[in-house]
Amino acid sequence: MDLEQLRELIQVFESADIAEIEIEEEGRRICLKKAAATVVAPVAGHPQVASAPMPGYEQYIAATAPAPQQPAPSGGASAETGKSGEAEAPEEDDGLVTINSPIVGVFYEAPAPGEPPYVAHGDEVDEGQTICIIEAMKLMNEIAAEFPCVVEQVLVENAEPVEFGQPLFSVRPLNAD
Amino acid sequence: MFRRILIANRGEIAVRIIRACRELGVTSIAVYSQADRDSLHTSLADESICIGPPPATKSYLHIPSIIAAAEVCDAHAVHPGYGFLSESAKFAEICRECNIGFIGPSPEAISLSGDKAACRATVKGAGVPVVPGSEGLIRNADEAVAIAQQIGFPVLVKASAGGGGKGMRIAHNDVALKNAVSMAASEAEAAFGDSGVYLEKFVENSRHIEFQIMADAQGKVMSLGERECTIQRRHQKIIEETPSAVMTPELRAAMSEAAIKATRAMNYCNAGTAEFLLAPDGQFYFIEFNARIQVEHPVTEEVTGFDLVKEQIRIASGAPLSLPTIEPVGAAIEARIYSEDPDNNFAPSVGVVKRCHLPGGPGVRIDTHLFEGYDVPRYYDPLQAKIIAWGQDREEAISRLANALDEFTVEGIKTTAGLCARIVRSDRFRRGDLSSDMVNEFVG
Repeated sequence: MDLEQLRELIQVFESADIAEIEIEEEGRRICLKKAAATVVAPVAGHPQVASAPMPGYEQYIAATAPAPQQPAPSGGASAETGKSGEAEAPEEDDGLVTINSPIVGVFYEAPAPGEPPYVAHGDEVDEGQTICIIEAMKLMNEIAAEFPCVVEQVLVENAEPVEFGQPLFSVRPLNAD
Repeated sequence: MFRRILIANRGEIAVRIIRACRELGVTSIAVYSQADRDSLHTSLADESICIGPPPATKSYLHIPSIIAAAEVCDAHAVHPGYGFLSESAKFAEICRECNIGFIGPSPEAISLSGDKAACRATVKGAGVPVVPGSEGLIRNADEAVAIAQQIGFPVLVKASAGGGGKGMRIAHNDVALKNAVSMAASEAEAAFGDSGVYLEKFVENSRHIEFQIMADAQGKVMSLGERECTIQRRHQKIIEETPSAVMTPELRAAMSEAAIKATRAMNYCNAGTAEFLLAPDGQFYFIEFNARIQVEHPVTEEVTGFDLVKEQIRIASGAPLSLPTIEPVGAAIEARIYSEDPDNNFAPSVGVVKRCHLPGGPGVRIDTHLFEGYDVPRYYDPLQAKIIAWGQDREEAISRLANALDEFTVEGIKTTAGLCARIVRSDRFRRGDLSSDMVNEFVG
């Protein structure tokens, strides 16, 4: 199965009324799951999305979340950058933090065109709940919240390209206090 | 012609490629890690996009992020520069599958050049002399000893997947060779995940001479002459020059022909370099092929007047070679400035550049990404600047380079500029009496 076929498969799957499909072909297993049901164990704060892009299709849905520095967003690796660019807009006021894009790609607010967004202003989000999709290399990577929170603002437009570290959501952590 | 090119690199080479794009009227797109947000390539490019955190494995070496950036930015092609993904056949292959132009050779040619034993066999089959040694990989230590006794000691055990001196061992007798084979194999396994090793006769007092090649998709191959890269430290080149002080017109013609034959045998397209050893008796041997634009390409540009990076872009877009046949003029020498402390065992030096004065004047070219206030990150290659001096003859080039190195001032980080100045001013360098290990004479 090549990228084109995989893309077609994803499109068919998205419009079909099924929650999950698994295909095994020439030793490669491809598993597609609809958003609501999906929680693939988040790997400690790092996107494992397509680290082996060609052979690793079964990994293509990965729940990822920004590195675990929400309360102190400029911690860890990003401390090295010195400057706080737009990617690190930290606690503004009232304990708001941002959820940043873990990868370069295109931001999608909903599982498919025409469907309601995963989250909107005022929504309460559980840990592990999908909040958006970032398309990278034609693969739809589901991004999950890494902690329970309330969405204050969606910071990017649907179908907008986003870079690594770009803030996607402004949220209020529910267990921050 | 591509209209939008993504540069999958950083530092001086990214800056070099951005300038070439600008001259061609092509939109340049820089990718950067979080550590390079304020780097020169990021601000100089027409567009830029952050692709990941500081470690290269998660940014400049992370193929999915580079490809996603190319797609998001609607890039028509990717220029990989040198290092990072430039010699990744996998990356070139994925670019092809994603319909993104790769400004470099085909994945097949990259694979072949990366498999040194196979490359050596291919080139030998085309009638190019290679260093006497094993046919392909060595199966065991006894086989190595048998071959060594045939070709004569000392011999060099080399990793087929090797580079940068890793997985390389020299042996002067049977006992040492048996040991060297197992050491090199395990080192190669650790470094490259491939334990294949082969054997070459160690050519003593040889010089390291490479030929710049340009080849187009229509099958035209050009040799742009040699570069002498003998002066190295830990297999890293420090000073490169053209023409070589020991080159004759006859030898150049013979080596150029060999380089062209090697290029054709590999079915190679775009810029590349055939590396040779030149023995004291004038015999030359092909050793390997570099499937990328090289750090030291400016010395060839200075004597030929060609812009190799622009030509790379044109060729990759399908255009035929546009370079006229021009005789090289004068001499050019490049000194590499690393952010290392020569007085402290070449320890890496990072920090904020407090003062930065770059020399100029006739025949002086500087390729660098340094500027005042730049915070040199600790994550990447220590190469910070290349000073290239051109002169009507070697003597003038040496004088200009030495003066430029003296004038070069960067405060806040330690550099190898002073060491380079001592080397090029030395009687030994002026005589053209070069050897790989001569750097040690000038340290401390």
